[in-house]
Amino acid sequence: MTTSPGRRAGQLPAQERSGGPGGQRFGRITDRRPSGSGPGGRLGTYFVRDDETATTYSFDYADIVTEGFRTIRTGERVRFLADFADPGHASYVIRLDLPDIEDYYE
Amino acid sequence: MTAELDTRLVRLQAELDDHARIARYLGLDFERPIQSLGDGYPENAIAWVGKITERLLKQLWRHHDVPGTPAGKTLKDLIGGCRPYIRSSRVLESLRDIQRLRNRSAHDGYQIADEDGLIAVRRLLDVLAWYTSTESGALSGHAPRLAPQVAAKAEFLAGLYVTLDFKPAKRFELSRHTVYQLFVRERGLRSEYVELLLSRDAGDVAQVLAATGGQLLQTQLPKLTRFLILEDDAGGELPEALREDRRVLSYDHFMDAFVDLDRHLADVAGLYPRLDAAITPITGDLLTADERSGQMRISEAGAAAALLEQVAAGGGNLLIVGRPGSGKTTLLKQLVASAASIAARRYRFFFDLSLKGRREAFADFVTRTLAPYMAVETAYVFPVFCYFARAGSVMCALDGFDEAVPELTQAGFLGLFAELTEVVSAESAVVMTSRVSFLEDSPQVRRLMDGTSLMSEKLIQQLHAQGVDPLQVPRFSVLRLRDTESGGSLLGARLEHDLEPGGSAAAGAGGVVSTRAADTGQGDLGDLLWRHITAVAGPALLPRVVEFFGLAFLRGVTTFTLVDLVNELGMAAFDGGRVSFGSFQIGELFRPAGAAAGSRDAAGLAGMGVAFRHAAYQELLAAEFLRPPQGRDAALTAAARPRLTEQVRDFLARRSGPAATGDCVVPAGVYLVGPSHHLMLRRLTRPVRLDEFPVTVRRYKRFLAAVAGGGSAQWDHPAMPAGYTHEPWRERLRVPGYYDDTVYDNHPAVAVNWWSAYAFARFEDKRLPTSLEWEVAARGPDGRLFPWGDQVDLPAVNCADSWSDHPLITYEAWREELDRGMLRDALPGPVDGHPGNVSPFGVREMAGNVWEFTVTVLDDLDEAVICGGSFDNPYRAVQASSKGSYRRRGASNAVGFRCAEDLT
Repeated sequence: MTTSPGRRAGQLPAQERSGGPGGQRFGRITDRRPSGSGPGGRLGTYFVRDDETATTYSFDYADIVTEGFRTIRTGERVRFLADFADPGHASYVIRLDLPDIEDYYE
Repeated sequence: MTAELDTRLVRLQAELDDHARIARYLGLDFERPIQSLGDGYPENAIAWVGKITERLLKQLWRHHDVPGTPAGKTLKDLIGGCRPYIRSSRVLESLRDIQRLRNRSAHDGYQIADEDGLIAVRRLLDVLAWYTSTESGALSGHAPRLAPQVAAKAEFLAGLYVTLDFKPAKRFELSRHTVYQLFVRERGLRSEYVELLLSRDAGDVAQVLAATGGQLLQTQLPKLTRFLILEDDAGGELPEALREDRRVLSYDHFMDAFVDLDRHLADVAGLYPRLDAAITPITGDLLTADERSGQMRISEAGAAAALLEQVAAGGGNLLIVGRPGSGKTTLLKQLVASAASIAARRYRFFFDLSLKGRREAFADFVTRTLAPYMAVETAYVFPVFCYFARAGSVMCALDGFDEAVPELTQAGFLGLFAELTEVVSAESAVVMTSRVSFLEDSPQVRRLMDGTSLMSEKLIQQLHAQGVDPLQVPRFSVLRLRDTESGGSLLGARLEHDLEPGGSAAAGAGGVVSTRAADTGQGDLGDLLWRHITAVAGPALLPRVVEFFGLAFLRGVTTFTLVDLVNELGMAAFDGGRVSFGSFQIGELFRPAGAAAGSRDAAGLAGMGVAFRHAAYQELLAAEFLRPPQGRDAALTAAARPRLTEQVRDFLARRSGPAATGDCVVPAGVYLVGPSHHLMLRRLTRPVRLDEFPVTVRRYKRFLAAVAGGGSAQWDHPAMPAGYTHEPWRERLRVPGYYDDTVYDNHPAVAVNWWSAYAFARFEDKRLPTSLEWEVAARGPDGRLFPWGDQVDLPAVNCADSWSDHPLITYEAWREELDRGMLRDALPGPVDGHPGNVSPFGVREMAGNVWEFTVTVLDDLDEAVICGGSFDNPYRAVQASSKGSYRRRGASNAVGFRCAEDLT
């Protein structure tokens, strides 16, 4: 029988959950501009404000992790990665609050 | 103060005094709650209990090095943080009670009675009893004398008896490796005792015995309640005196006193599918989540059984996913059965979740399943099982998780998952199986199982509502089973073998299924199952079998009593006028399922439960039931939310004939819609005709000319904001001359907003389709994945994969391709560029090319629903059910539209 209480293999370490420096961050979209990204700069640029540090990062449509339509609205809550190699840029932006499936059929 | 209250307070104080050492060590005053109650201030007593509990938990937090600081944490947060280290569900309940009482007492509107204060103190005593039983020096201030591994084992045993409502009465550390514990439980006027003597080996016990003058502690307890537990039972001869009056067990087999493991394993092995047949080796991929994108990637590949055993022995929680019939149950049963021959985690329990009643609580199901094998009172079966599971002492195998979910929705999943968290902890080993489509295709569910923090606020709220702390959700690795090289399945191979001339009449009764049979198993699974069903049921019984069992599945009913079967199929379904499983004419398709959940006659024959031997049989009957329009209508009438699995949809799509029309008219009726993890039946109340093609640049230019001539007021949406024109957003166009160069006239109109699409439709005396109409028009009456069917057909669609030189399965692959410039030329193409991109109703170019606006608006977001995927999305996103939303004023190169018109 196993009695060791110390192992936490079933869970993520806390720092992975909350995001250490350079790790995952949480924030809200604060602004969207109609151009500046995509081929020929004809696609939108987005801005996200870090919940914790209040730092603002920018990203473009290709940074949104989805297999579907790439857009995001102001005020939306996201998780993202802050990249030390490219300060001020957010990557791997994941939308957290998408509508329920059934809402699409109302 | 009444005399009765006074007596109770004196008694409680005496019990609190038993824990005086902890009070001294932590600087706590256990008298204050009792004084407050005596003075008539129960709210103050509760506040004191709350404070004491916080101190205890903070100490526990530091002891276990829970990440973060406990300082400033609320009681709720402290309970959440310490939860993985408190194995006893009873203690957790007591902590939650204290938290609830304190919340209530802090709230102005609530009256706090003496009884509330007494309950708080009683719950504190439960916590203290457990706390004391852990006997950790770090927690109690007691100088450690026992070797750490002995202390840990003593703690485990004590926790077990606390779970059984015993209280620690005596505890003596007789040497560094030997500890004596006495527990007592009161049952009315009777007191029950259990005595445990834990030691390293026989030599240590003999030494202790000699040091105490030839006798250990003298008690008059019967042998059955006196245990000598040895860490190593091969360490020499025990003194005869100890053998005579105690049950002697090794620590690793102590659970044998509670569980008849051998009988459980024998029963599991005897159930379908039997393990005595040689089976095709099953291979799989161990998946882990990419920390950045949250998507799954392969970390290891190989023989599934070896990967599984590796995880099971090492600990951790695992989800096995695979297509129906891919061998999930067989693998899981093999894993459980192998327990008989191994030392590590040999206590393995198998639960067939398909037999769990949809409304039956998980705790009740576990109790019903395990009670025959456990030597504890029924009320303790679940708490004891949870204790073992949470301590990592047992491996819990849950087969068919998807089959036990009450509703195939996120909320339904969460409900069951929340119940399961009772048995899952940081140390637990839970292995469960599920269909690929259900658990893997839903991003939300996938993220939950992965335990990442990518959860939506709604999901977090739902978890809180279920009493689950999102931060404590355990993480599951995923083992995805592969199909055989030929695309066949283990179930298909078994069926082919059984249906061969000379094959086993009673399929699954132990025939040899060769590797070759599986690899050449090209036969469609649905066809094989249908052959089996028709061969067994015969033409007379078949229609009723389809109707009854098909509809039952859609209503969520998968186990049946023999009484049900007589009532629904008649006595003609039983040979010789005898109602028994053996005389049931189509019994070959079924397996015994014990007493059906909720059966009032569980002990009798009539209450005996049966279920299909594999869920795929009943899913096929459900698909058959849904094939005719009246079947779908009846299903929606019978159940507001019919149970629809991806396998039902798959069978329906494969077994439906060609669509009736090619005139783009969608008749009124009930249709199957939704992504594979959330399938639904929805009713179209009136027929509608969709445009054969998306609106082209040519058509849109005619509209622009009409608007230029006389304005658009007559066609505009009444809520369209002032100042809008219907000109495309030319600055946004990837091809600047898109609306000027006639070469694009036959391309879809893009970069126009929803208001313009709406006005255009009215200009043509039409309207935009609803998202439901759009999807039904694309997937037809059989619920196919793509307009042309279920097969991947790259030449039929304009999507990102068509512009690349390899499949773009993940975000990473798509992003890499974009960064390489391979998608630079990806653009919308002519609307008639893909002749194969045609729906069963004759509607063209619905998948890929451009997303299409619909009239359906998400009110909360003020965004319109768009359908179908576009040229820059990977293949997975261009399914008939693909949906997104886009702001109504937005204009994108990837979004166009088509029109619809009502038919009377």
